[in-house]
Amino acid sequence: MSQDPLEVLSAFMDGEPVAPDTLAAALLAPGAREALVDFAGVRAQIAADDSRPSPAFYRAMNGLVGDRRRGVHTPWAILRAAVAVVVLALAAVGAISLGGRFRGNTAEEPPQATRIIQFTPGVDWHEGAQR
Amino acid sequence: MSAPDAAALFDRHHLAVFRFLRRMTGDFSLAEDLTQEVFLRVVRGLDSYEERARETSWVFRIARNVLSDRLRSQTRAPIDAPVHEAVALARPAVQALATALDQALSRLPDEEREAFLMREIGGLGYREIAEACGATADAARMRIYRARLALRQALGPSRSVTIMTPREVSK
Repeated sequence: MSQDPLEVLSAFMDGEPVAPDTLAAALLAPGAREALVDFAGVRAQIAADDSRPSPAFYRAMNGLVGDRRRGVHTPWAILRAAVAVVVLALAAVGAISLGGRFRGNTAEEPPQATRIIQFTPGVDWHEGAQR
Repeated sequence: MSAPDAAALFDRHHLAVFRFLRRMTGDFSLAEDLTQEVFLRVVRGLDSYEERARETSWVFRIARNVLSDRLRSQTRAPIDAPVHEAVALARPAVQALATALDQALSRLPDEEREAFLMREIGGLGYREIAEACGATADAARMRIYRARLALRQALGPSRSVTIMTPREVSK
């Protein structure tokens, strides 16, 4: 980069990498401080511009950009949304079903007996008998 | 990352593009027309959007192309019915938008003005400006520097540090 002091300051204002020594030397140049202030003044004037397009412009743009924004209502998007709803519904039904199945296995509620086996003392087992 | 949404792009960039074009043309209505054209092309070009390019740089490149196309077509248009003048005559209030800064900007060479405004309004870096303008980064840096010097000279030290309020600027 050129070592012209004002050019260095201009690049510095633009966020370009400037070596600290180079910047220090540039700031020592005659008139450098005033130039930097003037550059900042011009920037401030540009930044103070808050002009906006007219309402008619925005109405016209709604027709253009708004169409893209409303793109979620295309047939393909509607189909995707419907599929998503069905998948979510199936997932919810599955979760409820599984929840009901597991709920019976908790310690507080033993499972219902499906058959009953009866043992007769002295026939099926004996007191004090060795295993 | 997919191509950005047109509405989101518009929300993010339309003011900067409009202000850039207003400063470039000095004409409020023309800037509106051109901004519409820019975003029409943005919507059409979304499918070819390249992720490598910075979004702002891409939009400003389109803005520059739109402006160049309009200037070319005006050159070919009949002299008695230029779009720019017709708009200005229809809305004389547009003339009131001219400020000292606008006048100073209008006296800059086009390539310096556009590089400077892309930097100050669009926030583009030297490389992005170079890409948008078809120049080198060094050329972009020099154009901005020369524009700053010229504006400083035109506005004078006492004027350039006067910070105008938004209301003053829009008068």
